[in-house]
Amino acid sequence: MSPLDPHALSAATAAFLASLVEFVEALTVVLAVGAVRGWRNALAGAGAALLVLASVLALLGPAAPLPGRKLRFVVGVLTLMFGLRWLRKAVLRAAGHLPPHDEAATYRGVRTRLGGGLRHAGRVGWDGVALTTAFQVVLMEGVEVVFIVAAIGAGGGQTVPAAAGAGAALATVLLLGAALHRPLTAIPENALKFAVGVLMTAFGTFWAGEGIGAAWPGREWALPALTVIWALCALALVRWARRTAIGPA
Amino acid sequence: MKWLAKLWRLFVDEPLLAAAVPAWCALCALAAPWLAAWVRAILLFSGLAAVLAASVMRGVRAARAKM
Repeated sequence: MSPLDPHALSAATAAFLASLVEFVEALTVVLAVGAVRGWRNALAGAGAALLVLASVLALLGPAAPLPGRKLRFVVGVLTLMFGLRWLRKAVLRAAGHLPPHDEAATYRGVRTRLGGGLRHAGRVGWDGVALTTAFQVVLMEGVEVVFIVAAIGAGGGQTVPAAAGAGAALATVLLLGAALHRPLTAIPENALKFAVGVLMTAFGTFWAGEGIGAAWPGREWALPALTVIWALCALALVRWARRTAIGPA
Repeated sequence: MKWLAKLWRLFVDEPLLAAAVPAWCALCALAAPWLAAWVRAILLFSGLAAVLAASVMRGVRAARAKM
């Protein structure tokens, strides 16, 4: 793999951005749990979930691309369903038809639900509700990260760059969370989701195409080209949807 | 059950998109033996772009209907 391998770069970028979004969402809830119910419970729950996710990834993430066209086709179709779903939501959000994700509101909501206005951060001992909440949110947000890394590994044999991208995102979120102790509201989540949707859709198109024996011009450079083409399509849809938003119903 | 729902929502969010993407890919796979390799690429991409456009259109209509 050369340092300029476009597939490796795309794999690492897609995994980094997608993981950043998911870990930022998980961090919001873990911070709320820690602030209200104590850091021991929040960190133990989150740590246990990360261990489960890493174990699942180690079992699922093949080091080489899956053999045979049919399997690449299946991975491509699943990746397309995943990527187009993100892209559709991102287009509707960018056009103002769906409300943007609000980390501050999520943080307030979890604090109210878990604390009922009371502060329990000074408590000692284990707290089942807090542990479970932190464990579940990290596990559920992490499922998407596991899928992305496993799919990139299975479809393109890029498990290592994808896992490195996800690891870098986790480290970034952990460092920022430890330093700031508040939800990362400044991270442009909706723009990141747009980028992830474009990248995953490009990956899915490429693999599904290879699965049906399509000839992509430019061989490995077809993936960056597909990324640009999907981004232009999505931006055109945003423009169209924005115009429709202000027109008569 | 929350896990299953989350796993399901990874791929299925909007019914049109969830049904049309695998259907279009399957159609392209079925037609592939009769098509040149470059035509397969164009057919696959253009169909998927049309599916996304139709799904966004549905989303816009649904959002406007709620207003």
